[in-house]
Amino acid sequence: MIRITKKLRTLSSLNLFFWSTLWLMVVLTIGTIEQKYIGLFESQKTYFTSLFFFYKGLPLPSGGSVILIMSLGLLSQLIFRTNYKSKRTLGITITHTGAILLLSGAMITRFFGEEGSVVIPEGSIVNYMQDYKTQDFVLKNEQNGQDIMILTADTISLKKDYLLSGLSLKFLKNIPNCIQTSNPDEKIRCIEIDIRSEKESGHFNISQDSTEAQVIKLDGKTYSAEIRPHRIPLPFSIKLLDFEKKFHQGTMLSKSFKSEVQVIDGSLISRHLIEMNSPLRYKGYTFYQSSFSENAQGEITELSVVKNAAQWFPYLSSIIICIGLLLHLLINSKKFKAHS
Amino acid sequence: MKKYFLVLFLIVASLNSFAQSKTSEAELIPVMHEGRIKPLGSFARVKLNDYFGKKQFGEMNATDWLLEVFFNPKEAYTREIFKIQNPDVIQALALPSSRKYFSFLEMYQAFNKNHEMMNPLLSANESELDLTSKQIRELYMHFMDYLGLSRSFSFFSPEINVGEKHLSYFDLVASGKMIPKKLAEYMEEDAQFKTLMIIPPVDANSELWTSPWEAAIGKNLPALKKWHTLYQSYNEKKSEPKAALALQKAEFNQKFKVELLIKKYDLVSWSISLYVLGFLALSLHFLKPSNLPNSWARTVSFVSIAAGSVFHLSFILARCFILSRPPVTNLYESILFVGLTAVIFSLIFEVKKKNSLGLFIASTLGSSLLFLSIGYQQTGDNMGMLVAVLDTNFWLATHVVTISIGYGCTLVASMMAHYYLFTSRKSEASALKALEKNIHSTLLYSLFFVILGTILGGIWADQSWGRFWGWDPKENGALLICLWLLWITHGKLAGKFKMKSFAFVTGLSSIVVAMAWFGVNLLNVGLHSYGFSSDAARSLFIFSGVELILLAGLWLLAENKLPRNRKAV
Repeated sequence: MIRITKKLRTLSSLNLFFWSTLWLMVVLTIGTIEQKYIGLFESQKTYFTSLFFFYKGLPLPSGGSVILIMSLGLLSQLIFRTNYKSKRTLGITITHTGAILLLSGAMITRFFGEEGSVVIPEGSIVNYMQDYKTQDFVLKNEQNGQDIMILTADTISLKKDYLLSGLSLKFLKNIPNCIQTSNPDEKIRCIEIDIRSEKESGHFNISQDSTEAQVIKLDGKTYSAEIRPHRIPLPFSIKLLDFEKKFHQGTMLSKSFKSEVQVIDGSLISRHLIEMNSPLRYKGYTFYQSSFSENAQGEITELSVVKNAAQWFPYLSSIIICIGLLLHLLINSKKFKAHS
Repeated sequence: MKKYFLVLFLIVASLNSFAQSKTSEAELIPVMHEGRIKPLGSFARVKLNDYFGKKQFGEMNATDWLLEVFFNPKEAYTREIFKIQNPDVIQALALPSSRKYFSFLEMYQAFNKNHEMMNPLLSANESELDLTSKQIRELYMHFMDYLGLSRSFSFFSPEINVGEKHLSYFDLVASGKMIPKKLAEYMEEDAQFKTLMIIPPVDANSELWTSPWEAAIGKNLPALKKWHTLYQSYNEKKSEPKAALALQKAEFNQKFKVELLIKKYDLVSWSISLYVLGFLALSLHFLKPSNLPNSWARTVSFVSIAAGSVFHLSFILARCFILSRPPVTNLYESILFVGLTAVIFSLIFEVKKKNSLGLFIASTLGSSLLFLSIGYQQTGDNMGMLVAVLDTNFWLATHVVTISIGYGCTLVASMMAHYYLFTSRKSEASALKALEKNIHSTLLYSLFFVILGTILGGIWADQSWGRFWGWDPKENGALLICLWLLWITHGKLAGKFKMKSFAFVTGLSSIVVAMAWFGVNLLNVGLHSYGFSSDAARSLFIFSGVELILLAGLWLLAENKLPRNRKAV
């Protein structure tokens, strides 16, 4: 027991903080520069949120593990090394408490947060959000409009024969980034399938960037196959009543984007306006205006959706950190004055 | 104290001579341009600068020049207004090579003669063109833009022959006569030009301004009659104040007057000059062998830096007033603001310590940052509008301002550290100890503002995009400064940095700030990227290199221990 306590104590050493901060700065710089080449999402995964990254086969600690060590060190510092009675270090103690709160909020968000987006054409209703990081392969029966198969693309096995009501499906290829666009974050998946029914068989290439699903006709029945972002159901539906965009006159600068939506929650129907910097909060979910697009049918709004139990952590911790730092500055300046 | 007032009085007196400014009535007519309602005087300057490269055309001011283009195009067409700097462009267009400025008529003939060259050039992609072709295309755009301006009020000119009389399109519209269809079609071709959006929206619900021709076709007679009065008085060579007055809108006048004032008197240049003067006076003070704590040179330095900061502050405040938004919304404004923060912080420091260090830092940081800001001015009138995401005064006023103050304080700390290394051989031990403490507390102030600013930025992101932290380059830049400052302060506590190594790493903060502030824009990814050129990358690289070499040199020269015979008190 004593040994463990001793080990925990060493975590609080300033040395550890000193070297971890230095390393974190190095990782931060590399990861930021890498964003230009491998994209925001990929670099974030490799350098910041994971525990290790590899440099020429050598495993090096990335942001995740360094921040974890720093948090443990800070916690240990607060438990073992803080003199809570000292007035001189009162400000610092408060600041450290705020920092721990901020870091634990980040942890909660990391493990329990949900995020995605909702894409709604004008006049349509949507009851799910999309997760762009994972894709689903979807096979649909066009006769009754039902999904026969929804499979997370990353879990597809190339060896297995998938048997579905009267159909046999074999995946020949599954390439997560068969087409690379100029945006390194945008990777387009391609899947090649071999599909058989009792009498007929077919061979199809399905890629994520085609706007319409691949139509498959077998034995006089029509099916469709597509790759689309993974869908997470929402406990209510949203209807886009109207989308409005404005530009500064005579320029291509956006002035405002607005989505007028209707939230349909059982028999409860309410109207809301979502604007830049003014999101809709409903049942723990927050909807933000993030983008829009247009097609022949009309305008389509894109909202970011976040569910985050730790949303208030940064607010509280920032107040605590600032109070702590201000107090420290005040106490110190008095100390300086007393000296001189 | 008397000395300070005397010097201040001299500066104010010398400025008084230029403060007696007059704006002509026409300058205050509102016009919609690049998304902003601005005074005609500003619009005229932008246009004149586009074509001519200056904000004044000989004896004429920009507004008089523009009125001539509107109302007396025949005269205006002969003025040599288009500036061509590149001899290759002059040659390509077969213009006389002895001049740099060409009139509209000359350009018209040149483009006409070379129309075979122009067509592929206009439809080509920007990236396919060489420099000369790009410049020819830009020149053509300016030429068409100018043509549009000169045809803005063509419905006033009596170009239609009805029997004996020459009538204008406007005369026909105003008298309610039918205009023959063919003639109307021919005349209304001028309506395609959308250069001048000067007719205010008719009903309160609309925000869209229209061009004079659109108003003529839409029969918006009340607005056009006012312009007609101005047109008549202009062509009868009467003075036009009353006619122009009728076209002003009282609600804009206050802002417009301030805007024209800061356009006319370049406050930034004044401010730079005063900072440089302050620096020179301070050098005199340092050169004096007796090195008295207070001298005339130091007073002059203090007052001129303070006066410079007043100009600096007024410029920023005027921009806030004109644009109705907080001081920092883009890279250019951030440089202005960080400069002001550094100057004010150093002046406060100077008032407290009275050891001239604050003056040294204020004058160097103030002048160099203002000088830098000139390079980052935007095109046009330097007062662009904001995209929707950024258009939130609350977060701009809190997050951006706080983080900029943090940058300013960090730069001040870095300068102090330079000074520490520079003087460590000559100074008394007690003075060095005190300076070290000053650096440390400046670092704590920086830490406070940078951390607060970064967290506020996270909260803004949380409010607008639903995530507190997204590892966006700008966020990472801010975090880098936070970590850097934490590293120094904790490293000092852990005994890693003593004396000159503490000053050395604090000195390096300027590079870290430059990387976080400018460097992340080079990556051009994420939400915060402003767009950036490779020139900027080079200068950033050079700055970091020079700073590193300078600090390394100072570090080698500095002493690591307090001299024994000069022990700390």
